[in-house]
Formats: sequence, C-alpha cells, structure tokens
Amino acid sequence: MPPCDPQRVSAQSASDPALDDIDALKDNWDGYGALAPTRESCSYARSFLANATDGIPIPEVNPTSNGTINLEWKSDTGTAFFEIGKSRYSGHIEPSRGSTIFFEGQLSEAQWSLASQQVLAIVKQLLYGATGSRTPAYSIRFTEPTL
Amino acid sequence: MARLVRGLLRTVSALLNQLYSSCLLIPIEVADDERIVRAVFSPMNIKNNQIKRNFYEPPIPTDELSVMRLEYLGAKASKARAKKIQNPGKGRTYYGFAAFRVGKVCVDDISVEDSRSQFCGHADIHFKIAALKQRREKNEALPALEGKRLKDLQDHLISCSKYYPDPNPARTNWTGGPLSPP
Repeated sequence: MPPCDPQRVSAQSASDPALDDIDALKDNWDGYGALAPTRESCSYARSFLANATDGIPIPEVNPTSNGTINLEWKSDTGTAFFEIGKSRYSGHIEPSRGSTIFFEGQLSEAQWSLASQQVLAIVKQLLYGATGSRTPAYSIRFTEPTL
Repeated sequence: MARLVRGLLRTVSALLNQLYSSCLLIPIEVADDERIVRAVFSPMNIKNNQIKRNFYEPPIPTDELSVMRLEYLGAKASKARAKKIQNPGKGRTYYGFAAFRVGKVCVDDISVEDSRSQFCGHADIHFKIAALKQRREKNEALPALEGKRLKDLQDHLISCSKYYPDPNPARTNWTGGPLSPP
C-alpha cells in the first residue's frame, strides 16, 4: 500500500508536522504488521485539519495499524474521536454530560467538506462551549447507540 | 564415579533442553498472576513516555495483540526476541516494553491465551469484538459503535499497563530494573 502522497495533499492545506511524520510510515511501522496510512486517509485528514482552525484546538493525530488515521480531542467537557479511512469515516463524541453521539459515513470529495464542517461544529459546540447562532444541519449519518 | 555424575548431568541437561524446546515446561493456561510484556518499536506508539492507544490496535484481520510471557521467557530472552523484530532501516527500533499483569488485563471482553505456535513463551491478548474479524476492512474505519468499544478496551489496557523504556537498548541484557506493572 503506498504511503501518503505529500504532493497531492500539500495542495489542500498547509503542512502539519504530525501528518508529515505519518506520511513517512511504511508497512509494518509498528513491528506487528501495521499497514502504512493510505494517501486517501492522509489527504482527507489534511483537509479536515485545514478546516479545524476556527476556535478548536488541533486534535491529536495518530496512525492506526489498519492504515487509517485517528483524530482525537479532549476537553473538560468531553472527548471526541474520529477515524478516517480510505473511503469511510466514523467516530463518536462523548460529552461528560449527556449521551454519546455516534457518526459514520462515506468519504467523497462532495460529502467530505460538509461532513467535516458538521463534525467540527458539533465538537466545537459540545467540547469547547461554542454557542454559535448557526445550528449545524446534521446530514451526516448518526447511529443510535445500541450497546 | 565422576564419569557417572557427568553422564547423569548430561542426560538431565539434554532432557531439560528437550522439554524446553518442545515447550513442555510452560503451562498452556496463562495464570492471572503472570506478567506479560509487549515490545514497543515505533515513536508513533509513545507520547511523553506513555503508551498511546494505537499501540493496542490489533493488526487486520486479527483481534489479537502479541505479547510474551515474562515469567517463562525472562526479560533478557524477551528483549532478544524484540530485537530480532526491529529494523531501524525500515523505521522499527526497539524502545522498551509495556508490561501487564494478566489478572488486570482480563475483563469481560479481553482474554489472554497462550500461542506457542509462534514461539515458546508467546501469547496473545484477544479482544472479544466480533467486528474486528468479521467487519473490519483493510484501510477502512471501523463502524462507529465497534470503534468506541475498541477504544474503551484500549483505554483499559493503557490503565493497567506500564511502559518501561529500555535504558540500554543496544545491550543484550535488560538493565531497566524489575518489570513490575500495577
């Protein structure tokens, strides 16, 4: 699996140090058979981070053993977790008060911008106390917890 | 008489070696009071001298994490095994061990099982999440609910493990003191 393609992603956002390091990972980077992050995951993660500049701290960015990329926020009021794959994303937001919100969907150029903006709006609202006048239109698919 | 003793010692030694090489001296059941260790090979798995969650992510298509049974292998042999896997030219450098006590690791959705087919002293931590084997696709995000279940179990492993960076990775012996996880 080819690693992230810096040339492709650099056009979408400024360079992010954590993602630059993740770009360089090769297959079996962890010694236990991990896959290198795909260029698609890196590209989507970069464009997501490029959107995440307004009132939200930069999340912790980590590669997974399955070639996907995890983004994570922690605040006094909860945590948010977001996994970006080659063609799908998923995640959840766990406020310290209230129910956990689950979401998942397909990654495509058309949907990604809207989905990332909506996720960021919810993270901002629930974890960083934003009370913007604009209510996000949650067209991304939310999953009811059935645990 | 001396010849007889030497012969007896040789026989006993050969017998013990045979027992060890066929792994007959190690019980298959992994006891709760055993310590297990997992070697760390990437800076992507460490932050501020702490293990990160992605260190506890099973490789696709499995639901298991490789560990070594410290009580039987010992720190020196565990380190030797780890150093066989490292390949600094390809970004894999041995950094140290995360250590656990089996009794603390095992909760409803996690078990530890011997896997001596890998090598004698090898075991696996199993996550009992069916989706890891059945629904996880290569390079794709887990479904949201299963992703949270995995994250919760990984957080549990973080809470009951302790990271021991190797103070002298180049040496053959483990010189980092006793590996005594919580």
